[in-house]
Amino acid sequence: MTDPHGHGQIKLQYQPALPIPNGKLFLWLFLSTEIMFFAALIGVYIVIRFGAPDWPGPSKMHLVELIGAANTLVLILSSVTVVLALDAAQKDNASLARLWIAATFLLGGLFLGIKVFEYKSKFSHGIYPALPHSRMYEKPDVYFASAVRERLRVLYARIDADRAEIASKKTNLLAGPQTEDVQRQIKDLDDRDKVLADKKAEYEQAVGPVAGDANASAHALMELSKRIYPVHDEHEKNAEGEAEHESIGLNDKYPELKLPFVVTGGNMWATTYFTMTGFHALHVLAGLVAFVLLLFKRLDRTRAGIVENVGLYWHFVDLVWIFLFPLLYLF
Amino acid sequence: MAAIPHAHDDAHAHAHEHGREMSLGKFLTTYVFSFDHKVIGLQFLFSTLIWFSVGGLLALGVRWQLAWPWTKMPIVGDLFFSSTGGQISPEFYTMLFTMHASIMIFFVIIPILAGAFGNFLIPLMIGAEDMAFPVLNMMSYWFMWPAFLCMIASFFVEGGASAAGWTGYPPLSSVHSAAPASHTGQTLWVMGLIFVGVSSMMGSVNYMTTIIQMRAPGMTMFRMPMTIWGMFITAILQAFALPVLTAALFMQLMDRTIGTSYFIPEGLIVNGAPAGSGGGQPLLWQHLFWFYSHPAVYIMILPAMGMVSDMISTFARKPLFGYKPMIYSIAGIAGLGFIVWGHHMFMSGMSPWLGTTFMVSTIMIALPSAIKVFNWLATIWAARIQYTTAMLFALSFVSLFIIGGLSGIFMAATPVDIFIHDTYFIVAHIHYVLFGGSAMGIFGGIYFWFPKMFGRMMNEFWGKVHFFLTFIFFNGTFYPMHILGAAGFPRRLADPYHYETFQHLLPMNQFITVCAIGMGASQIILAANMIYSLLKGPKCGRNPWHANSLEWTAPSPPGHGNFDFQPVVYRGPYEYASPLVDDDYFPQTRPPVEGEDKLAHH
Amino acid sequence: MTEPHDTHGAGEHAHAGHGTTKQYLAVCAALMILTFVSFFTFRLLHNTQVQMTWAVMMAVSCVKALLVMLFFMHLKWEASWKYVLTIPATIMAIFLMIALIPDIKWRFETIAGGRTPSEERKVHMGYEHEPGTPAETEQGGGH
Repeated sequence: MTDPHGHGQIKLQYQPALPIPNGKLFLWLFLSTEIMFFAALIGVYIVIRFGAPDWPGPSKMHLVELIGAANTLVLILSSVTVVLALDAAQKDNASLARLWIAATFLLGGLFLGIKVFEYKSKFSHGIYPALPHSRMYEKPDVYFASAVRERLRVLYARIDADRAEIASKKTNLLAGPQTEDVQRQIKDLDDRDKVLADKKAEYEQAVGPVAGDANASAHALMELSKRIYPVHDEHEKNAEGEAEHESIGLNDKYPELKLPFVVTGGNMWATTYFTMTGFHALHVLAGLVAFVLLLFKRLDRTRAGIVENVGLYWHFVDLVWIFLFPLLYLF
Repeated sequence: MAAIPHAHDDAHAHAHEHGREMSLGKFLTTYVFSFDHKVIGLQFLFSTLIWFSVGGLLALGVRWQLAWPWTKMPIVGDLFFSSTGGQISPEFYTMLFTMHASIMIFFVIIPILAGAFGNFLIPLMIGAEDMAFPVLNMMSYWFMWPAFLCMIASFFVEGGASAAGWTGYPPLSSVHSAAPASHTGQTLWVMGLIFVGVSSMMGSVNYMTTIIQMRAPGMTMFRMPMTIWGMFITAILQAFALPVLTAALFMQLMDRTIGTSYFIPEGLIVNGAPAGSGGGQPLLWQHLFWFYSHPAVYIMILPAMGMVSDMISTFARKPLFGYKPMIYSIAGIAGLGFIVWGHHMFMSGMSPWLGTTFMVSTIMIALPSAIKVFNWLATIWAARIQYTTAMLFALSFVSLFIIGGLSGIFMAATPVDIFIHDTYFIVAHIHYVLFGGSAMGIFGGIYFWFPKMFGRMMNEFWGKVHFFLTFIFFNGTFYPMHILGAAGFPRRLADPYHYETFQHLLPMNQFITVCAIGMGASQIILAANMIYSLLKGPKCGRNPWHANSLEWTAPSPPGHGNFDFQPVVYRGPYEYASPLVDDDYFPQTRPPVEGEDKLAHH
Repeated sequence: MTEPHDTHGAGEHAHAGHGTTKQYLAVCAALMILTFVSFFTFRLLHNTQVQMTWAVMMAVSCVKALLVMLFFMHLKWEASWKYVLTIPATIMAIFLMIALIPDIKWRFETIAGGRTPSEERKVHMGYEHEPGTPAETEQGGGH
């Protein structure tokens, strides 16, 4: 009965069932729970995706497949670097291991950077996971029509307010002494006023009278929704982005309009897309935190186990993306 | 090699270097932020017992309304409903039963079995000094606290706590404007459950690692006590089922906060406004919820089955009949438990092909369950039973589980279920299994392992009083509910007597409520007995029950590191009345005696 | 809990066997090629044979996942415990997804059936009507 700590505690012997360290067993069991978590997410996606009467294609949602593919390559490369880091750590080459971990960290960061870029391009088009930020409607119904009216009202009210301000400035200037400088200012104000007036007229013409009509027919609303956000055809999409679309909607032509638009199934698309990529990105983030912690350690042979466990987790994150990429970008 | 075990060793070495005087830091590391599995287990035990009383009081509120509808409810009426003369609102009633179920399931039964007994018993029974990952273990307890706070807070927010039923079916739970309690209360409910889920997940992975890797020499998988098998299979169930619920809860949380519409059907108008933005599917929530919550039914009973097996064998002074079949039937229940969740959804409008499949698989669960029951009965057959309080509770577990199991077969059949769906028959069934089963097992476990937990015996006389009162009032409360259910008495209605059909059932409901109050009052005896015994109970030795398993070879209560010797296991845990030794028990650690290998039958 | 076997275990394990750098790079190249395979399947076939592309892409993804697990996660060189820890989770995950599928078809046959029913529902929901009498609701919507 030895007592290594000197306070009545003995070191117990155990009979492990599996020839692996506890940490590794823990990690594999943890990955099992993670598999179930993502299985639920993917299962829900499948049910919603294939149970939906209509589902928007990638280009309709400003999703660029090539960026997704590039992100896949980034993650695959990071998986290679982390496995090389483990190799180096097992060979007791701590500095090389750290180098590979740093490379993995950068690649993971690059992945997240691309993700942020993708999210931003969605947000800039008014595609959010949901209301109230989302400007996406399922069909050109009364709610859509009233949202368009409300948006135009706000827009026109702002223009009118600006014009009223200009008018009051002009009145003040006219009341004072008419120096040459003042004359120039008045002309300036007149120009600005004309620009605003033209803009409003342009908007009104572009949107058409239907937007102001509370009793617009369903057909007219459908036409309006197509003018605002045309249904992009699959063939038109290209790697560079949206600018080259042949049929340009009002939201593309006048980005400041920010009108509500109609994409059938678009809200469920956004719901699933943002959730799945979001939870995946959270896992990437957790991996990056682990890599940062590893960078502060000397990754020699004694720490190979930790590198291996973090690596296993990272490969799992890669695995999830391998399934998410085709499901979200290519289906 | 995880970093966690190192951290644990360092922290403890640290704690021990700092002398014996009780500084605040030492107090905190010993009793509050302790890594020791026993302290964490007891923290779970006391937290869940407090929640037990909260959940019980909520149930009494439900019963009051059903027995004396719209009369002044004691205490609650004065506090919250003074404007209506103490008469509660229907919304308050829905909140009462929702929170009763949520608390009892997620804050009492699951954490007391897996958290309290699992934590305390697993390392002791397999001969380990602690869990594989003590820090993770501590975190699994402290992740319960945000959940506790969410639940407490939800009672005080506008609209009150969740009232969407413990199943949280959307759209009631997903749409803010659906009901007063669908505002902040429901959000807090979802968040609380997510925290519970994270806590259970950390616990389950820890238990599995510990049981697989940290058994004492000689403790093969088939020499583990049934309690450990129950905990092990429960941990597996949790690991596979819980993430699905967590995912579903996140989806519901997003439906509620950022406005996604996973579970909100297309075109749903609530209070004159569109509820969601897209075309989600409410049925999907039910699938995901029951994919967890049906296995959760087994999470709530398998550890209790294991504990009861140990108690029955110990007090029958006979080997457990059919040890391996018991294990296989637990595994069978767990495996089948994953493919039966649809029997909660017969009436939900899911695909009818699934209905038949789920009916068949559900009825198949009766097989392993029956094996277990027959093995328990065979164990006590012709035994000289020691009727201790723990044994009484174990025996009541078996008998009440039979009743609960039989009523389960009724509702597993689709045609019958269509009739009894959402009636008090279901309420009777779940309480026979969950209270008559799990809670009785838990009471038995408290009486059985109290000496090991605190080194003092509990009072047997008051224990028996507690048992008989609980048993009688339990049956008085829940047995008539079968009759109510067969009469079609609907659950979850604040005033079923609104319908003339059910008015004649009022006296029976009053009888039930009186019994329920009696049952609640009986638990005061348990609390008093525990507190008194904790302070003044007679001290006990290492093995007051003359039981075989490893925890009884450790000091009572076990010190830090659990064992003061290296436990080596030579046989299974149920060698009672062995002809090889003079004692009627034969501990797992006693060195082999001559002729044992010839007699070995396990 | 740093019992001796633990540290030893890690040490032994490190030499248990793993791939060479060349192997890893080959797997990486294969993964990249497979990524482009699914990408070009989409480009070339998606407009004509949707089901075909789904099948190809899922098959490609499974192959990719297998490659990652075998080589990067070292399962190729692990002892038989790998089956215990990977197969149950995989089965459960696939089972969960499959079990959700019958409802998709059912939904199409009954509830969804096109977009018209929900349109009607929307009109009706604004009206107060007696529950359980669809015929009356139908009329109520017509006002």
